[in-house]
Amino acid sequence: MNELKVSFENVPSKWKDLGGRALTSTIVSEEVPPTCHPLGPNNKLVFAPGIVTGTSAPTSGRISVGGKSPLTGGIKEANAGTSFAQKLAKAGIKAIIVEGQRKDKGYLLNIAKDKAELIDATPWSGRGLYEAFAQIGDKYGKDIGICGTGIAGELGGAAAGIAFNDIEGLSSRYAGRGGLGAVMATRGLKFIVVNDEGGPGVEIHDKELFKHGTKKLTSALTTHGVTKPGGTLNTYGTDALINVINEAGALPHRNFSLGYDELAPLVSGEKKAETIKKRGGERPHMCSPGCIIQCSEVWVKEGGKDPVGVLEYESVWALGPNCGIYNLDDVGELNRACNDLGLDTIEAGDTLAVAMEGGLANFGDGKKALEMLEEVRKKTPLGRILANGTEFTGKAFGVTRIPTSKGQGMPAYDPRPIKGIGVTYMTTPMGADHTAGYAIAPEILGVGGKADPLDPKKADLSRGLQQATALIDSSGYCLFIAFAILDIPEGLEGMVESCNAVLGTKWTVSDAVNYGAKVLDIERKFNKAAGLTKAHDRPPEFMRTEALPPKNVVFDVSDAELDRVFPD
Amino acid sequence: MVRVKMFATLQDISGTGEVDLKVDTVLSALEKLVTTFEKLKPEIFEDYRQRQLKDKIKVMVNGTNIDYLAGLDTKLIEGDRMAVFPVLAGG
Ligand code: SF4
Repeated sequence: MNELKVSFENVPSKWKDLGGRALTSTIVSEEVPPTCHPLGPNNKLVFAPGIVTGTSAPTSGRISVGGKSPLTGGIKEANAGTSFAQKLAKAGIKAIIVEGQRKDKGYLLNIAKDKAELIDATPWSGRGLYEAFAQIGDKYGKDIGICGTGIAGELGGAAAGIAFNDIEGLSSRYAGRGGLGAVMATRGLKFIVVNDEGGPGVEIHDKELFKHGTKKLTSALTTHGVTKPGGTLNTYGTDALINVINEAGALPHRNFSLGYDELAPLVSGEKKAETIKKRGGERPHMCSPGCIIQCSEVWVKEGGKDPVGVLEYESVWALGPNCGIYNLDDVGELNRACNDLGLDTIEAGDTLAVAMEGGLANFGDGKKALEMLEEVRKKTPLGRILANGTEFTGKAFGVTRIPTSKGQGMPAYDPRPIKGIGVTYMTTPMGADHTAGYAIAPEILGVGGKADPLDPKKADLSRGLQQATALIDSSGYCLFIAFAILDIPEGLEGMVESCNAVLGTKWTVSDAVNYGAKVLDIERKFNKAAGLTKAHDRPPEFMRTEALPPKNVVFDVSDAELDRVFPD
Repeated sequence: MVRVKMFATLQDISGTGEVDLKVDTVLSALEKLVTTFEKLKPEIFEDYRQRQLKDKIKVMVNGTNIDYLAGLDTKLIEGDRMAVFPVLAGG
């Protein structure tokens, strides 16, 4: 970025079999000094579509973004479902590495057939991302992929995510976690546009095997009750979890002070699907072309106006019950503000809840919560504090109940009554992240086996899930295929076969899981060199001492059990 | 009375989110539910005659899955909260 130079390089043979998270984490670990300042000149930002992304494989439009995180101080991988990923892959690009730093203004990287150039992005800087994406679409054509960082990123806020276009072109699909939006903005890069017209497409080494593998996977996805058309993800979206997690006493309300509230159904997936039907938004909907699960939606205001995009379970919870807000319209507007400002919804919700506990607003005051987010747009000192996330805001306002792990705000499951997800939060190299090893599947949902949520022996479960997840995050498939392939072995085989078909490899299922394990090793090595120790794999103190009502349990997984996940 | 809540497809099929029942076990509550809402029977039971639940139907009593209580024989007392979910996931 220093010299505003863009160049193409051939993919080194050592990276040939890598994609998605495996590729972003490998490049970051090889090229970023672990002790560098995440917002300084030596950090890099890497974008990589998954192995099968850009092919006709179902539900595979994922992009991985990696860098050193300003939120956790460790390595970070965040991913999103978006046509941007597919277009990048079809344009023949395996990864974009953004290095150096340019401070004069923000730039737009324009990628099209045989060209890549950096253009002055001043017209779209300092603006909301909905408007910026629409104007960029007008200028570069509708059939493009767009990615961008918003005002929160411009502030260097550690809660800033990276937005990608959904099918309508809205800035609603996020590689949200870990502050990568701030890494992008501090490189001097504001947007990337990709047009794949005339691109070479993704080469498939063995077309027959590809057909065979994707057929097996498709059959699993269209059979399993969670992922099939008319199944629960398709009908209610991810927000169907609000009721089940609330009933289990593990939905964090009012900054992780309570696990159940009878008001939760007011923001449930059931309620949301019913409202969308009445108002004329869209449900089901796909975040990227070729998804057969279609868990997404377009939430709109009363009268069918002003589309926001999807309101995911995590976002609804973070901006809703966690802030004592039980009104979908308030949640929708808070989610709109996050999408517009370039904020990760989970981090934003945790931050607002901590700010409420710190006395900046009353729990339940949706209007005040929205005003607080507007402070980010105005770039006020308060806005700058909030844009830096949960831990930073908690410290600024003297709060001790700060629900973070490695500095990253916890997602929508309180780990006190569901121990396995807590083990993942504490031990994943990513900081508190449910997607890193989704123990909720066996612990609550009975998918991929069954495990008692209150049993504190969860090291093996979490490790296995973390390895499988690292594989899926590298493959380019959406993590939600896991619900089907954990239960239907032919689906898992089909997924591995489709990767073999693209790469020309001969992995068995266990080779594939080892591939995931290697990705984790690389990430953990980086974190160690960055100064993260076992002490960072521990819960916040209040979770050990404050029992969560109504189950009245603390997080009682021992330190030894946490250390057993990754023993070295 | 025991408050029985139904979620997701079960809510749509029964047309209601909750009913109050005078019952003393989980099994009797489910029996009452499927006789009141006939269409729920194939959603909840794999084999009604054997009283075998469908795979992945989740029943919680006061927030605990009955797999970790006494299964269908789990006792219910006045004021208990029972919740029934079909297969679902998210995240
Ligand atoms: S399942 Fe949902 S998140 Fe995953 S690719 Fe499909 S629409 Fe996107």
